[in-house]
Amino acid sequence: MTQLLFLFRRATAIALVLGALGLVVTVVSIWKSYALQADHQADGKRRFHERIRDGVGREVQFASPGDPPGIVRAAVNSVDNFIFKRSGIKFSGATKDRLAEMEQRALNGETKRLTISELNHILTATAFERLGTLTDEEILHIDDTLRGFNSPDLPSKLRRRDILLPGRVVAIPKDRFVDQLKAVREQTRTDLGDVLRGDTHRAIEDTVQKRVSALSEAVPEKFGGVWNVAGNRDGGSGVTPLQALLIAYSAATTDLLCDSEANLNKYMMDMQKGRTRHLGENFPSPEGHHAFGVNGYLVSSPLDVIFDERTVNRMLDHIEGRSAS
Amino acid sequence: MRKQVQVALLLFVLGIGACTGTQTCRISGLTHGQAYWYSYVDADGNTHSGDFTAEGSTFDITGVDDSVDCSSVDVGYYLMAYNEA
Repeated sequence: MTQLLFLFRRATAIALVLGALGLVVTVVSIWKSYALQADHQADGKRRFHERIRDGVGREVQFASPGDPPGIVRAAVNSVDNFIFKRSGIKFSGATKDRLAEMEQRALNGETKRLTISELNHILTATAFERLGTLTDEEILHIDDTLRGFNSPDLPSKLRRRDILLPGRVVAIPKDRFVDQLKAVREQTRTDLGDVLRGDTHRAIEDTVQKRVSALSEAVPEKFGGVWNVAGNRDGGSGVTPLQALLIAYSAATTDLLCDSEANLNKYMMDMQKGRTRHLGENFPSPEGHHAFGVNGYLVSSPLDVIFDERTVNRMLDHIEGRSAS
Repeated sequence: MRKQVQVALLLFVLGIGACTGTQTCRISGLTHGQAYWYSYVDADGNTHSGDFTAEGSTFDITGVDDSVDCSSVDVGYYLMAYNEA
């Protein structure tokens, strides 16, 4: 009996030791897995920032306080070219003239720069106004473009596509999306409009925050001080009208402003290979297509509707209103 | 209270993430700037497929049928030659 008790105690002790060892091994494995994941995330972020420097960092030149009008106009042209090469959208001469004047005044301190909070309010007001004036045709076009790049030779597996928005996709059939967007358009003119405006503001705030946070970290020589990344709050330096326009474009298109023109083309070629491999069917070539904007090869968005001359000038009106105060 | 009802009404109107019979599947552990593909089959047997670029560590697929098991959503990343070097 005593021997049995001894054996039982010994077996229990061995089981406890093995259990403890197992626990240690599990904890170490989990810790290593988290550490590896954190390394992978940090490495991914570093490469992401390199790509932003290669894109907006290399291809956009902003003017500095005291620069003559010619330099300021060249800065406006560099943003216009950058947006055009990526999305096919080009601003009129009159809009560029206006933007250059506004930029000059902001750089000279005659008008104040916008805080990120002010920029969010401006983008919300502009988006909300545009939402209320959408035609039925434009709503159909929005549905069509948000469902991604389209081409007659698109693989059959991509026939049923979801709506792609910043940070998420929405699985919703065309008729329901169109009906709901029409209903939302009507709501902008009712009491529900205030709630809708709040919802729009939150969505814009979230997207803008992600953009300015990445830009502040990746290209501090261009966006330094705009966002306090460590504190996750407004950095206090504010943005000029030209910076505001570029951030608005980025938020409207889900263009993260990565990659130079040459590297963006390489990226699209890589995407073609990747999509072909994944789908098991040939994916159409990116040749002749822009990466972003209407039927964008990487991300398609209704830029012709939400970033048209009239809407951009409405946004500039709002910027002028805020900058003067 | 009125505000709450309005929010509920608005979410109903928008039908985004708040519809009966649908759910949001969250994909996590993503890497900034990396291009991913996703794919899943809905209750009617239709395959939903698409891609996106991660802007954070998570990405949501909203409006997914309740009957779909979120863990069955297939996700992978594209191997990009030029920026992996």
